[in-house]
Amino acid sequence: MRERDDDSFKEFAVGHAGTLRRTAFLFCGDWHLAEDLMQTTLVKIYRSWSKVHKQESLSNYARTVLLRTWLDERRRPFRRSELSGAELPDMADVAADPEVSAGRMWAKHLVHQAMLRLPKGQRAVLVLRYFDDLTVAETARVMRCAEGTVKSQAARGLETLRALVARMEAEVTL
Amino acid sequence: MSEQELREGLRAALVDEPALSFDPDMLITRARRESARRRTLVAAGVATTAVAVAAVAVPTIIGVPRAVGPAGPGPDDPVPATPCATVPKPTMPLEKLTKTPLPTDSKKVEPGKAPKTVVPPAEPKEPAPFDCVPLTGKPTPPSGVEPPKPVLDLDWPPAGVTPAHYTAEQLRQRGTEMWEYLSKRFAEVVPDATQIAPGEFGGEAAGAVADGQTYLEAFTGFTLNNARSAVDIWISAPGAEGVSPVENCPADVPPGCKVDKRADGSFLVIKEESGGAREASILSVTHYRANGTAVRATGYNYDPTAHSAPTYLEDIPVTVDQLVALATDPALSL
Repeated sequence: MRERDDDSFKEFAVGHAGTLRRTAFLFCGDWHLAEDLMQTTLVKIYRSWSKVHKQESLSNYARTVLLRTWLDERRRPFRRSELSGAELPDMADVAADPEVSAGRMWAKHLVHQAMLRLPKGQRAVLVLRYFDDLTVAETARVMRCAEGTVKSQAARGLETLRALVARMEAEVTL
Repeated sequence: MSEQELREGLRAALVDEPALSFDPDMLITRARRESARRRTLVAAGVATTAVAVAAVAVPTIIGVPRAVGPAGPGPDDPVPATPCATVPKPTMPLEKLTKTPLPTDSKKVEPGKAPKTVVPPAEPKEPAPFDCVPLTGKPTPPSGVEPPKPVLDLDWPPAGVTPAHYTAEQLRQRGTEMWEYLSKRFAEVVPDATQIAPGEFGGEAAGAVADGQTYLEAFTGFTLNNARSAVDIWISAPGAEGVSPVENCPADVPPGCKVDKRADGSFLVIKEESGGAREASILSVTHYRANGTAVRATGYNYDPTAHSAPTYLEDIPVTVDQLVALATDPALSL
């Protein structure tokens, strides 16, 4: 690869590493694995950089590669026992206002823990739609599926998520 | 919960994000190293093939008569302890390999004139016998005999298999049938197990199936020696599994992996993986069936269904034979 390509890849990698790792974390729930997924994704992109770097939406291409990398990772037997955490950890953020802290705890643990219990397709749709703020059409392109599938997966995912959060909230308050 | 609350929840989940120590130069170095390794592997494969072809073709073309018989270790040599795969003995008739035609009945060969070891031609209706060869290197072809064709790769997926399409209803019904069967069968295969609890067959999640889904999967939980574990049963529809037995069992998989071809033309891949520092140990048996279905039974030294940090057992509580019995069970299929 030419030096000029290397430079443009570095610029892309530095600019997207953090976002890719955050999306990966929401997919898998583990920062270490998220780091691995991000690095593997960037290595894959680098290998075909000369062909892809002129694409209109490199960010979405990177999301597609990340999604595939995560799904491939999940197929490995070692990754099957995903730790979703059956019980919510009893932690307190003493540095923050108690009310704000409580709200943040609810959001941080309840929502994400519930997300990790969703089937991977629904989880991916919700992350891409509501964290990466992609449109239905963009999400469909990233996931390589029909827009109708995105809509139905998002609706089903939200419904399941609501039920899971309600159940987990009930468990916490008991 | 509204969509806005979900957005906030996802962002809040990232509040304890660790610092990113990312070096693009190291990443590029890693990518180049992996690409170079891949190119080296491909080049080595091509070179090995070229040498093997030349070793066979050149003497045949120039007409040098040669002794026919298997190369490699003699009868008294120790058997190598490397993982192995079964490959068929070459089936090419000897007449095609030497200038002087050999007698068709080997009993009539005169002592002293006959080759030391004669590889018989394949019987037309019976499967060829198989030899065990190390997976870590190319099988050594018998001298003077054309190297065996890589049937392990070529035979998967079997020719003529059309990918099946099932509706969600069909998958649900099949899953229920297999769940009922497994509820009884598991106790027969693992007789010491108690508290056997087969999970619902599904896809992305237990019980979740969709139109066109190409596989069903379920964990069966059980207790053995006061420890909880589970066996995963994964069944792919005919023609759906694209990973061949050899691809499933690459030579560098530690600590062991082997491919066996069975008399009915199906393959068994037995693979053990350990997690190093993770202390995890996983044993899987995949049965690649002649109808294009693949069935995998996997045992773990922990409970993969527990929603908590795993407690590792010293050994995987199920044996290879028990996993083979499950993977080859014809009642578990799609």
